Amino acid sequence: MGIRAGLLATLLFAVWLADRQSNWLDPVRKAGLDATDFVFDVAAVPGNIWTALSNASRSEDALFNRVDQLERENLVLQAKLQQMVALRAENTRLRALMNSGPRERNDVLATEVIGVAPNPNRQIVAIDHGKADRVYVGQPLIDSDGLLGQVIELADHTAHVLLISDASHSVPVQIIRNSVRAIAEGTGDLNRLRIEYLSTTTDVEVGDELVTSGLGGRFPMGYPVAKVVAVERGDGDRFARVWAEPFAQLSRTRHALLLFPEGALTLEANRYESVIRP
Amino acid sequence: MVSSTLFMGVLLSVWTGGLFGLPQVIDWVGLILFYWVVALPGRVGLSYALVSGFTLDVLSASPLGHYAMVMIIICMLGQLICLRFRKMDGISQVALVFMVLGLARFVDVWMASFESVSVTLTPPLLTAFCSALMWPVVMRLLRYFRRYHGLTEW
Repeated sequence: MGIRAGLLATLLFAVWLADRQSNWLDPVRKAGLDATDFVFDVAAVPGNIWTALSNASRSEDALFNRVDQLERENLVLQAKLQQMVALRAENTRLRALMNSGPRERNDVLATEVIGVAPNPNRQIVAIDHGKADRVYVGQPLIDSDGLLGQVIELADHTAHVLLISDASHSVPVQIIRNSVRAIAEGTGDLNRLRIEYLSTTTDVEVGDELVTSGLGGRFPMGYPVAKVVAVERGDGDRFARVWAEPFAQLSRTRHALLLFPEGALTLEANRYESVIRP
Repeated sequence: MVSSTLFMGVLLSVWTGGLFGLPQVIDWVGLILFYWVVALPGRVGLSYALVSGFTLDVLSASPLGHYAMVMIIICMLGQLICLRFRKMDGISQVALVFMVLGLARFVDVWMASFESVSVTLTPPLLTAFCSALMWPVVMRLLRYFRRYHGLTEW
């Protein structure tokens, strides 16, 4: 037992090193994920049953009230959308006057968070779309409030998404108020991001809203990321310690949107009811 | 039969991880594997640890070998102490489970630190402590399951 276990541990250490340092084992990992992606579906069954039961037990009045509330919300959103269309047209005209190219737009595909990866050290969720749905590694994911994270691993029908609050995640941002650029890093805490590389003299205040800057090319520009909640400037410090709270509901969100470059889903628009064109 | 309980542990890990948005504080797979290694050391060993570890690696997007190593450590420690462990009273068992899972979690955190994950969501000892508190429940359920299905060493 001792010798066998020792040899096995050495072999595992080598496999771990190989997978960490290179892409050699990616096909094995992908095959494993394809074979086990049903686990997330099975694990979601109790939650789905609970949702179905709570929906079934709602009274007719409660359902009518809910529909009424949703209709009102829809009306408000339609009004905002009309305003957005006018603003977008105006923005395009102004950019043309400045000889700038048109702003990049995105198609979105509605997806559902089906599970949380069983890893106490990381903040990774699984979604119910994968390679078969043209999802790709590095693809941004948002919810109705802001940026959630990016796809890091793919199976045919599921994908793993690294949340922006994960300690290994960083996203280039800028302050809406004055366009100052910075990097928002995850801290491991779902409710807190650390804003890096802002000098103590930089104009940043509590309440400033941060959006993606588009630098680096991974995340498209202009999506809400977080709101500054604390700024600390110590004597002799070169950089301010700035903390922000993500807009997205990282721990609660169930429905999310995958961002695609505009036109990427044209062929799929009929296939998916969940494709939303801008 | 043993595999089905380990699969249940994997499901519980995924399910409780998403429950209320809380980080995972109970090492379900580790607890279940430890029970079987202690109860049936001749039947449940490294192969079960390896498969369940690789499954967790794939599902948790960790480098292959990470959780497999953690499960191998739990398995080795279980096989080393199984005879003495069976004779212990409940509180001593809980204390020993705390130590075994605590050690395994320290290895987990140590490997995670090499994977550029400098911050862990739950302190290793908290996970080991919560898991050890669940030991009496897990042990009784699995013992009932083992006796009901007549699972023996060979």
